[in-house]
Amino acid sequence: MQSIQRFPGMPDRSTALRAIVRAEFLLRFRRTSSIIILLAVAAGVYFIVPEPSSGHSMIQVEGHHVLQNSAAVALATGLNCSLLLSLFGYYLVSNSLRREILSHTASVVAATRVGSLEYLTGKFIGNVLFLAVIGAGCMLSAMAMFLLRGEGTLEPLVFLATYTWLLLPMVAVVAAIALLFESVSVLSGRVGDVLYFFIWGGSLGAPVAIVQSSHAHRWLEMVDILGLTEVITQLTRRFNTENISIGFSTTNRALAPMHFAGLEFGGDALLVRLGPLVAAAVCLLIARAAFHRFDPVRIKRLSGRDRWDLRRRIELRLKPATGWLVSLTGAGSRRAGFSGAVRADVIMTLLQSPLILVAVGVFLPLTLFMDLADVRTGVLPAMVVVLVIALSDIASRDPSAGMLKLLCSVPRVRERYVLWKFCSSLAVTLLFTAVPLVRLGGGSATACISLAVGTLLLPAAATGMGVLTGAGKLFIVTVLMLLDAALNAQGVPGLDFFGCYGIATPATQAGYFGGAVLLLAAAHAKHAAAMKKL
Amino acid sequence: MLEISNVTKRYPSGVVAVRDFSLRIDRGIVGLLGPNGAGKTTLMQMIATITRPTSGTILFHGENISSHPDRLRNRLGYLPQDFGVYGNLTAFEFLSYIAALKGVHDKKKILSLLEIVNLHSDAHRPAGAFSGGMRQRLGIAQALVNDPELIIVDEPTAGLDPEERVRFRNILSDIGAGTLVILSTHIVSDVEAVAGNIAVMNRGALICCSTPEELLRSASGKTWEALVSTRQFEEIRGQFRLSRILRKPEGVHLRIVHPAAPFPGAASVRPELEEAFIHAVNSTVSGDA
Repeated sequence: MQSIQRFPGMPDRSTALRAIVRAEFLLRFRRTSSIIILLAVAAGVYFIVPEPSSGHSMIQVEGHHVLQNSAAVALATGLNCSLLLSLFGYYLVSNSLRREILSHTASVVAATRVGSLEYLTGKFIGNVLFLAVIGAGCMLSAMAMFLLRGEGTLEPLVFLATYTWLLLPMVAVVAAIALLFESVSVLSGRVGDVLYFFIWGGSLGAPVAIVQSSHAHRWLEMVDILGLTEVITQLTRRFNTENISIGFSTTNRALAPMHFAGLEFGGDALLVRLGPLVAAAVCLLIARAAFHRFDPVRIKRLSGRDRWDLRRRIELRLKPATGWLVSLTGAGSRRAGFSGAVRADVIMTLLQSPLILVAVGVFLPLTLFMDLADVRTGVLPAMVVVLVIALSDIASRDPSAGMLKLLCSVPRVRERYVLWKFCSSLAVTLLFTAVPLVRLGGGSATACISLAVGTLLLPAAATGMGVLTGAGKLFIVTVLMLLDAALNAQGVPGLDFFGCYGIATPATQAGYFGGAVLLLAAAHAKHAAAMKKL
Repeated sequence: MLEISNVTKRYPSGVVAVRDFSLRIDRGIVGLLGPNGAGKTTLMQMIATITRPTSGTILFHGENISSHPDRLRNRLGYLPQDFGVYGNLTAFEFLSYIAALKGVHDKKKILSLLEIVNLHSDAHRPAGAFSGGMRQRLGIAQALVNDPELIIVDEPTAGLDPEERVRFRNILSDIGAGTLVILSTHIVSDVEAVAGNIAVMNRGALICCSTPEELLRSASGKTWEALVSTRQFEEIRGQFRLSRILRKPEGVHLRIVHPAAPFPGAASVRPELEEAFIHAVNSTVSGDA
């Protein structure tokens, strides 16, 4: 019998790792969206670095303008970049494993000698690199803006050190969480997308709580992925006040400007940034333990026999009931024309995700019997979260299932695909909002109109962003960010997009309505252009 | 070289995809034939170490591949049924990527493989723009890049035009010498052209494994030809396994696979491999030999 201990093509681990990193990076970077992101980053930096003579400042301390030297510009732009990249970065890189499955390369990779940890590490580094390039794009834009609007000499090393300190641990954690969520079946997909948003929200609130508790739980600083605790601590110590804001703010030009010498990268500062790196490594190890290595048995959990995948199990149990309910309401009856196509798509949505009907059943008594004020401030925000999950894939599921060309052969759907998806999403939204709309109509006209606009806005955003990006992630993150902002700034009429506070002005309502129309128009234009190419 | 012993694969849903499958194969091209849903792909995936058997063992050079999958993976070339590419990598980049995963970093070798599969002139085009045939050729190139001893190709010609199919079969034929190639398909003419041995699978089980000649012999005296009227044809069409139906002005020419003369006037003829396959599959269903 032949020995098989040695083979000429025995993989060189570092070569394989390099290949995975390179492929991952190239696959991400060779997309038009990457160029758009870099341009958006540059544009964002242009707006957050103000002209010093304008009366605005990037950092203000008790109304004093802080001189826009390299350290200040690096800190302010770096922090803003870190905040946004920690959120959007997740959604940008959270499809590494799913992409392998969809592109049908998964089984080829699985049949090679590459170890699972090695493979995940390659994906992780590739994603870190991709996010780091976006961060580097932001840094270079900030340096360019410094040359235009800076106050002092450009110190590239200060930029580099500040950005590295702020961004590197953060992108490591984001990339590791993305892989972890993809590896754990119950967290992959929309559930993970929504959960991550709340993790991100928690990571924003935690530093303030840590500082306010006078660092009572110092270990928590170690898991502050943004490094905000250390930044707040250093700035508070340096300027001897807590009245500090970072970002675009108005300052009193009569007060003498202040000087910021930069963050101190001493032992403590470096130590607190090690925490997130350790957390990233732990996430990666858990991801390795949960990784299915593209085993079809572990990927195809559609059978619902997997005792851990509770959501799938519930959905499969509910499928017959959903079908029965659909036939009972006559919704499945054969109707020709566009309305029939819309009805068919709604039924498809409910059959695919029977939990939507369960959610409708939960919200119905709440919206019917609770006090109207509680419905607005308590139930409607929760409804937005559920709708985000329910609507996010309606417009993007057909192209990703390879069904688009088939559906476009259906009469009246090809030309009105975007309208079709919008109407179908609107019908699902109305299952939730119809009752509160009626009740608010008799109580608060402003809230009722806002909710009506929100009822149009959410399906329009889901359809528009779904068609434009081919995925539901942008819709999820945008609406959740809007909701987060609305809940945190309850008195701001411009953020009351769903009638939660009944304070939206007619201009706000018109603005959201206009936004909905614009999104649908943009999606229609993209779809029409794609159809011309067919 | 490859020894499969009592392998069973039961999915969590309870479906048994492969049932007590045993086979020992050495070098050459082995065609794995079976109707859709016979369990061929699951068996291929188990041999390719992508999924594990529920029970039984698969030995490669005497080593259990479930315990030591990397020993096989070093020497494996695998072209899955639904092979795909990264749309925005070029053919060269894609092949270099897979080569690196397999521990091969010889640029010349990658280029020569692209030449073998006639993709050298398209090496720097994005693979997403390739036709089905070109993708399959890239697929066979990636399977060969590590000079494998065992090559598994699962339904490689599905969706290819006749010219591409012939080209693909010729490539397989060329690489078959000195290696073990398992060619899984339900297209009989593909294995007929290249395979030295044919294993027939149905409902997860191995029905037989023999040379094409032996398979043909097993169907000898069980293949019949007849010319019937349209009315007669309508009467008998549901009763027998018809391997060919040809409507002509004088009537309907039929070839029938049946253990005995199906009706008076039917003449015994030499079976073709497709008919031998039909006979083998149906003899297990009906229980006759």
